[in-house]
Amino acid sequence: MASNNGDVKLIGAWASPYVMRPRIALNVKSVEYEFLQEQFGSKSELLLKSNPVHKKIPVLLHNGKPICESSIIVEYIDEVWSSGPSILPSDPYDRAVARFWAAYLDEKWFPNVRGAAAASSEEAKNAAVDQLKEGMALLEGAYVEISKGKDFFGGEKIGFIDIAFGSMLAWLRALQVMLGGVKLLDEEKTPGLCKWAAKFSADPAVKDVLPETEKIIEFAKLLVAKIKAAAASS
Amino acid sequence: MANELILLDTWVSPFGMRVRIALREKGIKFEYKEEDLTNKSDLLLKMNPIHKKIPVLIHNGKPVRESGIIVQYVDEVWHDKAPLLPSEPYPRAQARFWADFVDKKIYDTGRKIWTTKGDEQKSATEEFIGYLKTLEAELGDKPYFGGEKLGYVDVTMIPFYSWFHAYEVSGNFSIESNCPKLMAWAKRCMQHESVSKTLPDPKKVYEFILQLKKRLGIEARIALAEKGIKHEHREEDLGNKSDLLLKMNSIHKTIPVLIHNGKPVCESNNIVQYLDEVWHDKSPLLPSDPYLKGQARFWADFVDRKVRSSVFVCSVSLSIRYPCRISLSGFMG
Repeated sequence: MASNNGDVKLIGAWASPYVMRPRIALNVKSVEYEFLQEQFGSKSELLLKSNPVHKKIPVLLHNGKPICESSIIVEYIDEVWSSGPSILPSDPYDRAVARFWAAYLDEKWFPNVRGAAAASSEEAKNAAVDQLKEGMALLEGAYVEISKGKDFFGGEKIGFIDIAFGSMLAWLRALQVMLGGVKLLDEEKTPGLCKWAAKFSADPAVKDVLPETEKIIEFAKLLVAKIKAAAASS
Repeated sequence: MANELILLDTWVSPFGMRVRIALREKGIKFEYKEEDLTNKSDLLLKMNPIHKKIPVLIHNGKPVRESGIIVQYVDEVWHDKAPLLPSEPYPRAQARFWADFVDKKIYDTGRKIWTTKGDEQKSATEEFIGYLKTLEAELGDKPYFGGEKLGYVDVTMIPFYSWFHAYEVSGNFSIESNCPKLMAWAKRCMQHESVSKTLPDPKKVYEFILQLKKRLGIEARIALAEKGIKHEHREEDLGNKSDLLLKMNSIHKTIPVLIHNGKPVCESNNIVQYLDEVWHDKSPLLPSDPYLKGQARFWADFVDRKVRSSVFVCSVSLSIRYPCRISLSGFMG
């Protein structure tokens, strides 16, 4: 099977949740790939050549051809390796719902994680945290509705929303610590998601991809320092 | 099986237009409901409680949200009629990539062109042209982004053609001379009934923007910026108006309101003229010649009256930080 997959490379970095998505997807499909890690703070020639428009990771290189944008890459993986377990639901309406939540996470929810981590004022930080908590309530509701009593958004096995949201778990946990024990995953308010998070993290396709919370905290400090330095010099 | 389709939308939204074009390309019948974004219907709020935005496609009672997601949904359900996405995974991924590029870059940069002036506007215009040129390069010699036929990227991008005139006039530049190939592509798309029936008259779009600028207080803010007048912004949540707003504009209860040393000045045209008269020595906005001044006032009033009947204003939240960032909630699909 492996030799029929062609040449598969992924340009990325261990700490990026967006990169974790295609890594998990490739694992779901049992596709071996070469993980080309970018150095923090610089962009390789290969990255700039493969994604000249956005110059961002992740980029999947399949037989030399680049595919960019994490959600688009995951859909591509699902379509190419269609004989493996499916990642998107088969029903068009369910697919539309899955894409909706992935877009919500990217456009509305995750920016607040970054906002809360890099906030310069107490006020800004609290505002970001409030938004995150509202988001968690929405996501809890979505989980209950979409999982229909099963372990994952995708049902019996992890699917598109699980990967889109689960890839952010390491950062979510790190943020909770960094904000002095703020509860985003809350046993009382988001019991479903707490259960889901544990199951997701333990999934064979996931466990070697999600970094330890400690490592993300260390990395976050570096990143925040970099952001603040850039802001100060501009 | 009965296929009941209702589209919640608004005539000028490029995001709504995408969905209309896709449905028309496939010859799918749907009921169109025009939303007044200053007074959102119960149906819209029920069908899209999280974002409260159009377009929303309601298929047999179930809502599909986000324009790109709706178009893909329509393409999947009615896959045998005029397919928009390619059938092979790699070209599909490319089509999604370029549609995503349009989504990320075109609307926001275009908005900067008509909401700012001076250096900021100039750099927004340059950025905008840069993105159009990137799209031109991607188009290459193909008649459409989708190849020989209208495809997903074409449908995603073509609505902005109806906004080009508004961008050009606002930013004082020509898209035709910068991107002739893209204009040729746009005209080719317009030959399709699904497109020509959907896109509004560019002049109406421009009038809409002029009206919107006043309603959002952008004209007032540009005037303040032009004259270098220090001022404080107060963000209004138009769904929950502040006591101050209700007191200062008790008649209309709308923004913008300028409060100068405790005294309110309402209505965008009035504010701009007031600023021009009080700070008459700094960057005059109205002509000094009385006849020309009268003409300027006439045309400002004309826009207000002509567009008022076709009415609507987006409910917005105005950012406190300057330069202004306006988010048009309910407007982006």
